[in-house]
Amino acid sequence: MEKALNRKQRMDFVEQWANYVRENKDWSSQQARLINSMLDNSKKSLLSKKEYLEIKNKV
Amino acid sequence: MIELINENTIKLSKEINDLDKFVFDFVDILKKHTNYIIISGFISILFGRSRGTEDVDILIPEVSKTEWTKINNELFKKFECLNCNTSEETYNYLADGLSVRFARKGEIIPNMELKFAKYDIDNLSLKDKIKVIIANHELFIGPIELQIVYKKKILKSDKDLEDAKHLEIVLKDQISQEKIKYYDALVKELWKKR
Repeated sequence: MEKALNRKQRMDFVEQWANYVRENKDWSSQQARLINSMLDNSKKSLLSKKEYLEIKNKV
Repeated sequence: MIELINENTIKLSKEINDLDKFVFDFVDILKKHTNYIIISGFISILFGRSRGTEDVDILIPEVSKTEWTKINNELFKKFECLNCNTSEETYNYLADGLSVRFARKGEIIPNMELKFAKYDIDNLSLKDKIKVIIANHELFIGPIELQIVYKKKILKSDKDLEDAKHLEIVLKDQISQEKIKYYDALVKELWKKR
């Protein structure tokens, strides 16, 4: 039940954001901040190549 | 802003982020040697989905070992392979239908997960590729309608369904419902043959 509610909330947000992208020019600067900070954080990761690949292979 | 230039070309106005820059750097090398298409999650992200990704999926047609060595040697000037060390190893992985992951030297994320086109559906995607023009860059992606169908009908994870929904809304004016029907029938058929 909680999982279904969570899924619906996520999908509602996807729809809301997609409509925002259609109607607003600033979507990509917001998205760039999100993606750039995610990639910056990943550079601080202490994972080795081997550890990273092990995690990916388990997913 | 998204503008359909013709059936196979889309112009996209957006602020270029670090993931886009990584992809442009990689395909700038690849495009000198071979066709390619980017598929899956990056397409939704390119068109604005509010998420990042660690890896970008890319397909190239199967090439000979000699051709691959040229590509690999040039890639190795800027990128390193996370799961192989030599050109021979990367080729063997690809020839076995496995993927090889390339990241900028000394980095792990983001990485390009590169595969040879193996299945009919891969070759269909390459044939029907879409050019996306972003400022002074060009990228080739798999057909958007096929991505939507594949994510909704085959992959079906929450993330894939969300990616498909995003593309359906954002590209509402560009998506061809005829193509959706065409790919829907084709994907079911090709998936059975895999």
